[in-house]
Amino acid sequence: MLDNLLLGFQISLSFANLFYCLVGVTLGTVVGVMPGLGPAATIALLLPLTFNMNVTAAVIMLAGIYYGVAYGGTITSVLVNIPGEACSDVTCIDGYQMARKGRAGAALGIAAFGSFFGSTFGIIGISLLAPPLASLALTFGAAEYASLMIAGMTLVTYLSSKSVLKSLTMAVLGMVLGCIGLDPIHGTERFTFGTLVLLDGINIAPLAMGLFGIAEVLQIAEGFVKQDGLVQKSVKIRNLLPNRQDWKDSIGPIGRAIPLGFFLGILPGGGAVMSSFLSYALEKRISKHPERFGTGTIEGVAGPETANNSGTAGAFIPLLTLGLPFNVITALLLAAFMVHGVSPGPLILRKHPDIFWGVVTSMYIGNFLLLLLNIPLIGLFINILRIPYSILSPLVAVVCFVGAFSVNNNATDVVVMVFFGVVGYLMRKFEYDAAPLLLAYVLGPMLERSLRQALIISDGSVAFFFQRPISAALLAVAFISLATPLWKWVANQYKSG
Amino acid sequence: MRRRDLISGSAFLVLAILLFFQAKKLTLWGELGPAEGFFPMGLSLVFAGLSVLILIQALLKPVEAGERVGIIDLNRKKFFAYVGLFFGFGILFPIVGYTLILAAFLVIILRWVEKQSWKITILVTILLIGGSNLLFVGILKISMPEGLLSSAFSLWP
Repeated sequence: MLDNLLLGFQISLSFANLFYCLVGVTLGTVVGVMPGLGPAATIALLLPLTFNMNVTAAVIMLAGIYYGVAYGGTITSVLVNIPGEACSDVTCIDGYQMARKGRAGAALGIAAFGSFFGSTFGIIGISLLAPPLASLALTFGAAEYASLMIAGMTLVTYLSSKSVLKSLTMAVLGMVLGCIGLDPIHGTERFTFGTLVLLDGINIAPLAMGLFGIAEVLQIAEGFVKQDGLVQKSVKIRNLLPNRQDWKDSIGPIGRAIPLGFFLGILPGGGAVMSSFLSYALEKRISKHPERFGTGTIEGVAGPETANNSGTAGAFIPLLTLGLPFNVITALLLAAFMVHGVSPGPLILRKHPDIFWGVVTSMYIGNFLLLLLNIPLIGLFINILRIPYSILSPLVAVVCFVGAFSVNNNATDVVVMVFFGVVGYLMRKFEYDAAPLLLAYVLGPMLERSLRQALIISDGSVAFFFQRPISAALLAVAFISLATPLWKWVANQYKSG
Repeated sequence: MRRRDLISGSAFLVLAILLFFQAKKLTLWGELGPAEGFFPMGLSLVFAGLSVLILIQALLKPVEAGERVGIIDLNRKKFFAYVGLFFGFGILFPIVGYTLILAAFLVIILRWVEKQSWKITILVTILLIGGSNLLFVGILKISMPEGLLSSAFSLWP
């Protein structure tokens, strides 16, 4: 283990990787500060630009954006009561109240330290859990993989959206999009409607940039996302280091949030958002003074901020050990790995230990850089909010155009991206979440391959999936996560007559 | 949302039927087991089922008073200007070339769509053209189409 960590630090501390790590975390913080443009859009925008980079550097930079966002989102949550990202929503409740009492510095300070501890322990968790989980994953056959993907997708739709039905529909649509092009086993054309453009399938970069980047720009253009009042609010930050009492009050919430966030992060659909909300709920429930929550108590900042960062680290476990992404960001990171011909999964530790440990240790370095960046540069980051959307939107669009074009040096990809931008915009209007679509687009072809392999092995017997204990348990999870909302809906209909 | 769910559910159902007929043309089951049409056929059936459920759920919802009917509620003119310019960029990009199309795109968006002053328009356009060429072409080595600009320079003696 120690040798592996040393190897990782050797790789991540090289000048180029350190530079890309700094670029990633800085971009992540900037994106986290700006309400609107999220980490998925940013990673999608930068994905094609990493094609010329070395795989380790590319993933280090993109991962830096992912965990940097959680830090950046806190700044606006505390100072202007606007969460830059969903994972910082809950920080607004007590963080902003602390700022109103003149304690913004302490709130930001404890958030930065909590985030640092959350990420650090999260990374230690990855280092400890990844090798045994990867060994366990090696015992998985096609049936287990297919069941795991089905369970993962159904759990994601169950946990991450208001409407399970709409999320499931998006997941199926994502798998349909994943089917377009040539069949992975026989090479037959599918869903191409006789057009050459669709023969190679739809590339993930234009799809993701359209659904997240262009759709966001169109929503801003329509005037749906407002910037009014963001820049007028004055910001005073003093005493960024929490005092002795602050530490005393925060140490318990931080200690509880680390394992809570990490294990929720591993679960499909868990991750940073759910971790922060559950940590807040937990702290409020066990507090001797629950009435103080919402009035500016430091426990309400320390717990959620720690949990969302350890949740972010936990989300890397299924990606790195099973090769399966269970949220949209890790799906994009998987794409980054695959573009460079590296398949994350149980064999990555044997085949590419340098990449695995390089990426894991870079997260530790990235979190240290974030701690250094966040404390002195808060004033600078808050000024990003002053860039008007009317200038920011064309800038984002230009990056999208270049990104889509650079995938194949083909302008058709730009048109495809704009098409999916309009689709993404309509999906937002009709309240359909784009995340399950993109996740299913990535998982769909893998699921099809495993499903077909398992059915070939079993001579077409579906019972095969239920005869294997792990596969049967995973299918039971999938069934419960589908049946629960259906049962609730039927019960509600019955009650309302 | 009832009306919007009815629209989206119907659109998905039509798409599912279209996909079903496309999947039907493929082989479902071969000698070894599931063939290339197996998964798409299954998906089209599940998709159709989910679309029907969305429609049923929408029909069972009570009609909301004052529900918005339109899709683009706020600044329609600006929205369509953006969509048109985006498609225009994609189509004209390889013909006109990156630098010229980017300049035209930024000037139209900033000056006429976003109503920025000429000073800001020119400043942002120059900075973005210079910055993007430096980053994408210079550092990231992406070969952008030169289009008309390249033709104009080739005519230069």
